[in-house]
Amino acid sequence: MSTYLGGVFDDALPEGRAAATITVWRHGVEARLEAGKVYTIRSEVLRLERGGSTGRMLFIRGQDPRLTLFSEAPGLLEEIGTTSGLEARNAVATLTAEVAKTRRATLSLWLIAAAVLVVLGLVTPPLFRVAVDGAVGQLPLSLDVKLGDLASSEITSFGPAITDERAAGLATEILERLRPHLPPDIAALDLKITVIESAEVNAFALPGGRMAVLSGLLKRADDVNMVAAVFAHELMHVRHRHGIRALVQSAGVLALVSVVFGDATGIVALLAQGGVLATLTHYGREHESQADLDGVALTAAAGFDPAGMPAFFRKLKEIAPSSEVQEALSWMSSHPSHEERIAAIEALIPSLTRGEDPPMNHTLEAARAALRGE
Amino acid sequence: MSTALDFSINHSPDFPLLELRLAAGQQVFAEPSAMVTMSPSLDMSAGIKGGLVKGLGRALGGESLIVNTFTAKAGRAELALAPGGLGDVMHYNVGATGTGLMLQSGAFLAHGQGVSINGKWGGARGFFSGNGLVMLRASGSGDLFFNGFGAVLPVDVDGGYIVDTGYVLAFEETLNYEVTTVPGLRPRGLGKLKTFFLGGEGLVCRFSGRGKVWVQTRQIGSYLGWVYPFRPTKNRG
Repeated sequence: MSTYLGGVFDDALPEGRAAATITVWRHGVEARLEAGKVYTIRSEVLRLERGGSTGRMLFIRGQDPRLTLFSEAPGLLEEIGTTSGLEARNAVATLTAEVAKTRRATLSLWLIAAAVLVVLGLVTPPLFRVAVDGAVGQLPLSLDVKLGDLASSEITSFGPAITDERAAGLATEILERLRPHLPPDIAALDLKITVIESAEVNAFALPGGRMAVLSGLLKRADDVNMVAAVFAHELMHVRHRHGIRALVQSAGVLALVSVVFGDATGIVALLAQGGVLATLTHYGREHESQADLDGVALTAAAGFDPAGMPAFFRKLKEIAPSSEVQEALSWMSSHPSHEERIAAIEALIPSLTRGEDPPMNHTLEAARAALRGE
Repeated sequence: MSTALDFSINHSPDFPLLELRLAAGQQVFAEPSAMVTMSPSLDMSAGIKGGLVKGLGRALGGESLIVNTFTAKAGRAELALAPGGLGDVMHYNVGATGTGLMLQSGAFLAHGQGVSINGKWGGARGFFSGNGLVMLRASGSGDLFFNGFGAVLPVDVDGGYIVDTGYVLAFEETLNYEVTTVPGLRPRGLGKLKTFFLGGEGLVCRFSGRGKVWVQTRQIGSYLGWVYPFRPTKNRG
């Protein structure tokens, strides 16, 4: 015979309850308070119930509805089953069967929940993508232009614009050679490129076709084909409307979140911390690969050597990854690794037909001389 | 089992201070940085009480891995403790009613000898109640002090009681609880769904059985939502 720690609910007690030690006898279950008071619930009338916040609390009741003994101590139920009278044993058997049933029900609920989560995880991303594609398709191209105009004032925040005809003319000539090979609606856009004085090896395109090339790229590129490769890549972001797509995506994520949680303020804060960035950069990688492959095809169609693109990526790898350069190439963080990109591009090149390569009016050498101030 | 602690809780409910007068040999265990003032004769040591596993359980329950132990080695000593947040401090005599106490994560302030605090897996209920996957469970026998956000109302439940999940601070283990939607708001019609998502009254804890629930009068999520528009933002010029 052992004793178990537990308690008693009794309205006659000061707080309505008190701690007690519980003992199981053949004739019934007994609870003894510290103050000495003893309660007994006889075996014949004993009713058992599992519950409490952990689900492991055993409640013992008799005929008096206001009296309940309780304990969470392990082994109590088993002792009631083996020690007390036949009626109590039946109560134990009933409860044990009930508990087993509940456990099975809980387990199957968990399994169903897990299955639903897996299915949701598989189905949601492609559905979301379809929704984004649909939404972007509904938005007019003029919206891209407006969006680009809004951001265009920030182009000069990289540095002053270079107006020397040798540099600016080269950039424009390359752009104009690429233009006719773009789809008609994109080719009809007001495509413009500005050369910006900056040591960074970079170029970017805003939605709507406003582009900028940083002079570091002209200085470090081996030939015109490399420069054309970067321009073509950036033009493909314009063509596939990746900027507006990213906007729709992040707006869509917010909308989803606010529908599910009723309030997006917490998520906005999370976004600011970069919590959802992983999702967006994954999509970003797809955009980058798309821009690489379509871009290299564009360079070939315009008569540039498509080998310029993989060569440019090798060049980027060569440039010492000093912290300054890494910061300058911050756009690279969302880009696939150089090796992956080079491999994917080089696999595509043999299938491309290179267009006519007319002599250029501007040369990279002259542009460089202009940049050096000669 | 040791003698009960001599204590008073002053300046409640906004900025309460827990003042303890320890007899020789008595010990108090408190969350780190809770100490405000102490007698020079008190000995303080930091450690992972109850071993690494229990410590990790507490850590998962939103508490520190480390618990500071204050021991009155040389005669009587005084100690004042304060919680990190704004809200009342409550006392609970663990074991006096034969049941343990479940605490919202982060609610622990201090306890006397004979009490142990563990992390307790709250499962899906804990997750949806916003109380975290791991709650804290106080068991044993002795004095426990915990803190809420705002004032704290102890409620004797007999039968049923519903509290919004964000306001549940602590409850006795004799109570059953389930996390559910506000009654009458089971999302069957679209209108009800709208109320559920936009009404801000999403999930509630439905308690049943007998026992005590401690309800705090503010919840951190709503408070942060209220503060958010006033936060200083970086001016990027």
